[in-house]
Amino acid sequence: MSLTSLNFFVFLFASLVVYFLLSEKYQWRWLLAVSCFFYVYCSKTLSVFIAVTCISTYVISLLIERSEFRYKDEMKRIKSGELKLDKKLAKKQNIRRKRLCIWAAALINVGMLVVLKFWDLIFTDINTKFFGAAEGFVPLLHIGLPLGISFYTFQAVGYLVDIYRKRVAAEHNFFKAALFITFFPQIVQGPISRFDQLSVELYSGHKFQSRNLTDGFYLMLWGMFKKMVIADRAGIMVDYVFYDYQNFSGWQFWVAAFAYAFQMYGDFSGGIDIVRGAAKMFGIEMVDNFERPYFSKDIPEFWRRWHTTLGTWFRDYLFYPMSLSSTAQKISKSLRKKGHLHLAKMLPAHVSCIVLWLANGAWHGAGTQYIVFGLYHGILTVLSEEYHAKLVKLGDKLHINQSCASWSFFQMARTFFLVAVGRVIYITPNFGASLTILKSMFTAKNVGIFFNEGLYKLGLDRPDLYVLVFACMVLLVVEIFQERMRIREWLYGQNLYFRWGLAFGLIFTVLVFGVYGHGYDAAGFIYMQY
Amino acid sequence: MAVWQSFGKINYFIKKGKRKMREEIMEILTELRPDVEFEKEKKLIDDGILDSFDIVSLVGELNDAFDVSINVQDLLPENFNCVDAMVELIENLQEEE
Repeated sequence: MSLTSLNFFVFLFASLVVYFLLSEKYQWRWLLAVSCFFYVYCSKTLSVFIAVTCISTYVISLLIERSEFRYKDEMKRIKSGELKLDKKLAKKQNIRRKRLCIWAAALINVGMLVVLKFWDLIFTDINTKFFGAAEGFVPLLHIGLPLGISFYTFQAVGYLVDIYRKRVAAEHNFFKAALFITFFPQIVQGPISRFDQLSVELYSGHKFQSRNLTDGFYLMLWGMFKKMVIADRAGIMVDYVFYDYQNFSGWQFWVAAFAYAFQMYGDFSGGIDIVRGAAKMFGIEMVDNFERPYFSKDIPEFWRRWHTTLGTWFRDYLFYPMSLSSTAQKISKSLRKKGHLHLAKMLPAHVSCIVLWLANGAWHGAGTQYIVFGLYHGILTVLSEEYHAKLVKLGDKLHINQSCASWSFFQMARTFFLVAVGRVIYITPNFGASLTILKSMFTAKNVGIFFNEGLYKLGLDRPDLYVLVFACMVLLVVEIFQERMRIREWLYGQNLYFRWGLAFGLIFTVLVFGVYGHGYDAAGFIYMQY
Repeated sequence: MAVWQSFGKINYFIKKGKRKMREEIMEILTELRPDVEFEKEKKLIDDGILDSFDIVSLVGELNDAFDVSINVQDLLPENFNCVDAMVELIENLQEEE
């Protein structure tokens, strides 16, 4: 059931009607019922994997809590003299027990994710290379990927680590914990929510408010515009050029690479808008995953504004634990003693950053191109962190006004360029093909395509290309306004006629200019496969 | 009277120690990010003034300077939003250890 399909809207409408007919006490139960229905309807037998995640997360959360209670009890008894045990030893034992729980959770849940995502990909390659056939020595699983597996796995692991760190308390009601993991709008492609934020929204009842309904409606409509008018249209060009890359060269790749940048953004952020809009209709507020990333002035800022919930997840549960681990701190200390002050300060963060980006690359898929993609962004992030201040100083020395609009525009264009190039690394099925494309892009000579109608031979005819360019400009203008004001608040300050005119205009645009034709896959959100 | 005087003296030394700690933290922060006015800023984390790289460097420096071990659990915005919050965090950690 795609987020843009009629089935989804009928399902959403029915869920909403019953939700608001029920008393607030029962609303979360209904949400769990419809979420389970949605998941089983979409994933059929693969639903067993999310069930395993729900059960293991629940059991392990209680075990972590029990360990903490035991430690507190031991401390009380030590203080009263009832128990003769070293305080430090009791603390160590508690940490060891809780760590064991986290490792068990990671082994079960991340293990499932890794096996389901990579087993067939890796062993198809190995079998083909060493045994001559894909179905060779190592048997393939042919299970497929359960819907949203990486999103709900990350969310569940994050919840458990938060309990470990005593940031949240374990949820004692299994069904409530299951709702946090399976909540249906977010299951498709995130955002990756935190328990302390989402649980309050999910478990407390919500009274019907027409404002929530219209807010959600506007958000969903805007998401559909980004997905169906921009992303799916740009996708036609991207597929046309990159799947048959031998037939294209130079500037044609540049045009397709920029189209891909808009496709990715429209697809993912549009999907998230639909998710947030659907949740908002229930009165449930979800975190935003995008903060107009193409206005970023450097790569670290871009990744702070693109898929923010994944970025903060990696930061809190991978980057900080690695860079602040006792090993990292020991290395840093010894470097400091030897007088390498700068290296001591930067090394833990830089090494952790590269590892984080390799993990991020692997999350996108198995293959050299994904590892190179991760490495590319890891190195850019490290360089940016290392040289940012020096470049600012250099700019001052060269008397460059670094606060004017043209300089900001230059920085944004530079970031957009670097991001677009980075995506070309993994767009093709193998890294060799990506290298061929990149080489062709950086030795481009066929500038004539901009003057001899060559642009209309990249999969989109003239009207479709005009629609794409115009839609991207609308997106750009709206986002410029979003940078300066809260558009929805402004919209509510306008006359009803204007608001309805705008809504009907958007509906009309999505219906008329949305891509539904040949080759359109209503279920295809790019990030669903992750 | 003598008891009050000794209480006063202890209080004086505590305050002096706290002031010294604050000055040292200010020194570390200023060296880390000379472009930030740390006396004025009260939302260093919430407003994104210090990023994750800054935090890792800062924690390493604080651990070394005050012989404490700041863990990932301690990386809460409320512990790093301003200089006084950092002083409090280090004092708590020193007490614990």
